[in-house]
Amino acid sequence: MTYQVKFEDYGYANARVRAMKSALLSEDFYEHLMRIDDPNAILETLEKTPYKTEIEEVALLKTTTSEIIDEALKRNVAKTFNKVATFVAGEAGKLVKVLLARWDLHNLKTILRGKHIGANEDEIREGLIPAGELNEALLNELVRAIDVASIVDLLATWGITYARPLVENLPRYLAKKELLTLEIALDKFYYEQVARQSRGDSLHARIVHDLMIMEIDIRNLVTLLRLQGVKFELKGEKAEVEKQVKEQIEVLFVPGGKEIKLADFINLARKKDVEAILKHLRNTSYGSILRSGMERYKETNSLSILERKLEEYLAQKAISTYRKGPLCIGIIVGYLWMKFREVVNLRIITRCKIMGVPERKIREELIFV
Amino acid sequence: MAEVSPTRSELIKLKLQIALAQQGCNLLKEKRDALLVEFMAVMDETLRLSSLLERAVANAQYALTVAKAVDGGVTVKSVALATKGEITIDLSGTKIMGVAIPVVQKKYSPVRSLLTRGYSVTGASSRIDETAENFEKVLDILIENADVETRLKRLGDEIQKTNRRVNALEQIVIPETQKQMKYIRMTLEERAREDLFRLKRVKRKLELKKLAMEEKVQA
Repeated sequence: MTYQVKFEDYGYANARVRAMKSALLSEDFYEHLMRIDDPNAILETLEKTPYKTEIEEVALLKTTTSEIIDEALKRNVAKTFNKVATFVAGEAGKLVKVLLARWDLHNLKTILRGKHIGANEDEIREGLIPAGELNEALLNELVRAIDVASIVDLLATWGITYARPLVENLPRYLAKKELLTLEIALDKFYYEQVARQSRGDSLHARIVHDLMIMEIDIRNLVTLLRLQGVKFELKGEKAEVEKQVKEQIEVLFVPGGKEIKLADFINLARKKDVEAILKHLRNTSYGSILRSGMERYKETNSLSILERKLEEYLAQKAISTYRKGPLCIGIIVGYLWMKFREVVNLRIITRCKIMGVPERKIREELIFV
Repeated sequence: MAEVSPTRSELIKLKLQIALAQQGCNLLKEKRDALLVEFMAVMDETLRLSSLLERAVANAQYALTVAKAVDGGVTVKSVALATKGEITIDLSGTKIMGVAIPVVQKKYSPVRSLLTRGYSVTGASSRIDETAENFEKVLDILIENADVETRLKRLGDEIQKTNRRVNALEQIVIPETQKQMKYIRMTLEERAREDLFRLKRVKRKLELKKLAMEEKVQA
């Protein structure tokens, strides 16, 4: 019999989380995994880790090794995050919900995308990670809906907050049949909601809030980098064109960040290259981070190098909260990020090994914090 | 050898036929050479596109592997669900040395901008953008490749067909006709010799007869 005790203070939850942290894989294990070339041997090695249960569960359902590993990692991460959510309550519970809300966003977008193109239910279900507030039963119900409008109706009926931006933008979607409208509205609503819900005077709230704000800044920065070289659809006179560009850029801005403001965003989105953006950002926290990736970026001309640097920076900040104190939410925040980093690293090593990606390239993709 | 009547009219007919076959053969050779020049140019283009395609597919596969590894297969699949699209292709035809060749042209490039792919810019990573862009480039080259490869195949088929015709004329039709002409010529010559011999015999007989008559008269 399992007893689930919910405490509003962090002592109990942190003790449980610290115990869970001890089960995380070490860097030595990654090194060991890097030396294995045979996909079956990789799977066998993973079966000796805490992922054993999930691998055994999915071994008969999936055919290829990478599919088995992917599905097992997905199930494990969902189970772990849900488990953490079960032993926190009060403020801690609210803040953990904020941290896990990204999975609700991911699941909703997956279902909307699937319904938009008429994908079958199994195909949509494969893309879901039930680790947020929307549990498996609710997600299944949404997957069974006939179309995008029915999903929005269901969410509104259940009183799920994400229904708000969807209801507002549904007429525009129905008129143009462009999912982008709903996706951007949903993304913006998510960031606005997590920033608002994490706001508070306590140290715990500040830790989560700062991370969310940093994530918004990083999201805007990544969008800026990706907008380089994009041509906007323009019609009409010069003044009209100017207005259109501004509007199109503004739509992509996620408000609520600390260092990247709307005016900067509009200005930087029209810069000709990454160097020009970097020049403008030199006094922000992200200037030096991006600068450190510039050499490799120039060699490869791949923006993912810079994005990776920003992701590593965020992960570093999040994981460093683990040491904020024994009775602080930092332990939970740090653990959730560490767990996610572990899953990402395992996915990188196994997938890249199976596909024969050179070791040097695999190391470039791994996140070691 | 086919049966032929060894007559002078047949010989004249065969002479005309062989001249025509020779002329046809020369024309076909010229056509084959012209097709070969075109074929070699298309061949270079096909080789260029094939190596380009090979590189593009390798890049796309690598980008997909990295995107699936870092962002997760689930996220990539989710984004892929939002990017259903279609490619419009124009199909027309042209003629090279009388050979009908289909022309495959893309109406719009399949390489789309970040804002027109269908997924939210704020909800995907640059790894996913790079994967999408790489696969769009593969599609772009595939369409070009389809056009050039079809042209190469049609030209190849036509060269083969023309070659077969040239060979048939050079190795079978012309030598066979020449043989028939030789046979007719020999038969006609033989006939002429026989006639001459016969005439000589008749003349000799007549002379002998005349001689006998003169001897009889003298006696």
